[in-house]
Amino acid sequence: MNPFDFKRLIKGEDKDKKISLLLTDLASLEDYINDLLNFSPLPICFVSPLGVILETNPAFEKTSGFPSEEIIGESVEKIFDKQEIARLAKETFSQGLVAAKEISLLKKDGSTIITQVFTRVRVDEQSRSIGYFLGLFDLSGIKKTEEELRKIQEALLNILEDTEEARKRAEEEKDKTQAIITNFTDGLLFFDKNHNLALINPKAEGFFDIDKEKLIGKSIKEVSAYPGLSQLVAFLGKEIKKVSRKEFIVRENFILEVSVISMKANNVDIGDLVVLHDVSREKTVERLKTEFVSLAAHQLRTPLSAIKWSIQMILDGDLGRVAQEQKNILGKTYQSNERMINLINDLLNLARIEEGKYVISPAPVDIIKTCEEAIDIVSESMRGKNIKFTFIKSTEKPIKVFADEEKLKLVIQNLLDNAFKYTPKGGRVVLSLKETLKNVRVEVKDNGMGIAKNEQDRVFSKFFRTREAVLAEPAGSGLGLYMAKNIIESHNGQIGFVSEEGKGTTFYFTMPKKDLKPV
Amino acid sequence: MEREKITREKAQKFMSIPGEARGVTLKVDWEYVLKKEGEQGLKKVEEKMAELGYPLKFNEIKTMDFYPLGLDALSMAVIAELFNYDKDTFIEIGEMAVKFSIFLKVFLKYFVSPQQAVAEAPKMWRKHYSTGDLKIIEFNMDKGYAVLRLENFSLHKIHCYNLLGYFSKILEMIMKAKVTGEERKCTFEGDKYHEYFLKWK
Repeated sequence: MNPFDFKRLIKGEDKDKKISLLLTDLASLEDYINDLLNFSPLPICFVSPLGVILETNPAFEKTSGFPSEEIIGESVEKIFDKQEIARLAKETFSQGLVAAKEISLLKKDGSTIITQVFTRVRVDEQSRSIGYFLGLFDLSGIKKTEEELRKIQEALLNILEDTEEARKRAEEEKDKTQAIITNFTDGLLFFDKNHNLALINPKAEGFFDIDKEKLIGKSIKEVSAYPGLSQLVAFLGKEIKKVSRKEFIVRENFILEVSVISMKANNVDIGDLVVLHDVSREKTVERLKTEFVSLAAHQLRTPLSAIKWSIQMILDGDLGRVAQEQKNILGKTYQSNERMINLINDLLNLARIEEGKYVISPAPVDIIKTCEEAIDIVSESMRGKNIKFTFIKSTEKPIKVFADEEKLKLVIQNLLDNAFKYTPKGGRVVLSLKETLKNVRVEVKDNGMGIAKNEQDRVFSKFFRTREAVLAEPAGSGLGLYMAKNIIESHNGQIGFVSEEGKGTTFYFTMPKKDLKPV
Repeated sequence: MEREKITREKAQKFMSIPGEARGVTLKVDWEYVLKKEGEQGLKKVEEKMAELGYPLKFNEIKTMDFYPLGLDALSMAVIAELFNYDKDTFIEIGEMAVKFSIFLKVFLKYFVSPQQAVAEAPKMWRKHYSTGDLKIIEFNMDKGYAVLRLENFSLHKIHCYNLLGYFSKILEMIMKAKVTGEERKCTFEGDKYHEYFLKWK
């Protein structure tokens, strides 16, 4: 016999059966309620009217972090903000329920999560409130996602703002660049890496009387078909050769100085920029100046020649005896007149050079002989100044060059004359002549005053004289080296110098032994 | 607390105590064992009960049904023997009983206010036990103490600790304050009744 079946011994059997059945039903009901609470994924608790937690389900324990034995019997204020939960309880008791209200939940680990709570009041048989159920929905995941989305949105907005700002900046830069290109005083053409015309500025349009709309995107071959541009394309070549400040005559009195610059971006070729600088005015002024110099020089040379011969006649006594004192004065006048004639000759030569009328008449020339003739002219002066002069040649045989003998002699004489003038008494001048397979190199070396470093760049410019040179020899024209350079380059040769101030200078030039190309 | 070896004779003696108690009083004690000692611990209790001639199964205990009062005393004595629980543990078991008792959840209407809870306490007792009379001798809200007297009830000393924890916890939930207490009079100490003094801040 079951020891707990004692009731059946003392009570009526039917009544006991019914009670037993009811108790079994109650137990089943209790199990059902427990199962329901345990199953619910929604955190649920029951709160007494005094604000004490009386029941929790596993989901609630998981969300709050409190096991049931730690949270049941505790004030609901342990997990919710005192004021928030008081307002919620008041609303629940007054309205019977609260739906979807956001409230912070303080977890056991001290962290806070945002929850959405739902409450419903519980009443007894006399409709008295005896507490309320509280279900909550953990919004932390949603809030976290919301926060992440907000941050992403913020980041995207920032990126968009940055992009917009960058776009505006790029736009501004583009506008600036466009304005610069549009208003640039030089003409600009840009050919991309495939040699298609990508840009023409208004100045270039004006130069060639063309419409950029018809030309942009066209290949260089197509561009060459336009009458205004065919000459330029021929000048640049199909491959657009790199040139620097090279003159290009568009038509009479319209001269452009053309430079082609290879453009790179991140070390990658992106195309070629053709810069067209209008030098017509400068060239006209230069031409007029040259013409004036030429005219003035011609006009001056005749009276100066007359003066020369008149003084010569007086000095020779053709017009009677001349006293020594008068002779001295006339001698100095004669020398001054001579310098003026030389200067006029230099100016005429200069004018010829600039007008392109300085004709070179090349013929086979023995450069040793030419050197010796030049030496003859200056040797007397050298001796007078006690300068030790040496002529060194690599061979005794004639060295033939194809040159204009007079002009070649003029160059050598000029270099020797400079060495003489700027070398002190008792100094040393060496003329050396070296023959290589293709060239002849002529060097004039002195141990004179030398040329200051900061003046060396301008030595071959016309009318330029170094400060020391002017002090040492006020009479120079500053045209000798300019002409020498023009003459040597007209012979396809090269001229240069090395110099150290106070120690001396070596001027040199090279000339090809054969194959002088017509200039 | 002195360790007590429970024999069949002692068990029969416990079972001879008159009166009945709701199954919930048994079940909450065993739930404590389940939480603290796990399934194995619970199995030990079931085996020991069977060994003593009362093969009670945890899952078969009906919380609303009435069981012999002596079974409560026997169950507690068995738990004390098996797991060597002391006075404080049984106070804690009493506290836990409040948290897990279905009765408290069912009869929540008595916790609407401290006054109502005090008024309903004697009735609540009788909903748990068929014997014994619980009286509220003093309930001083201002000074923060209460005196509870239990007359005509004498089960086992362990049960006295259990009740101390139980009363303290209920009072904590009513007053929402930490409650400390002591049993100042006890039938097992030669007094005519049990008297608990409970105070809170």
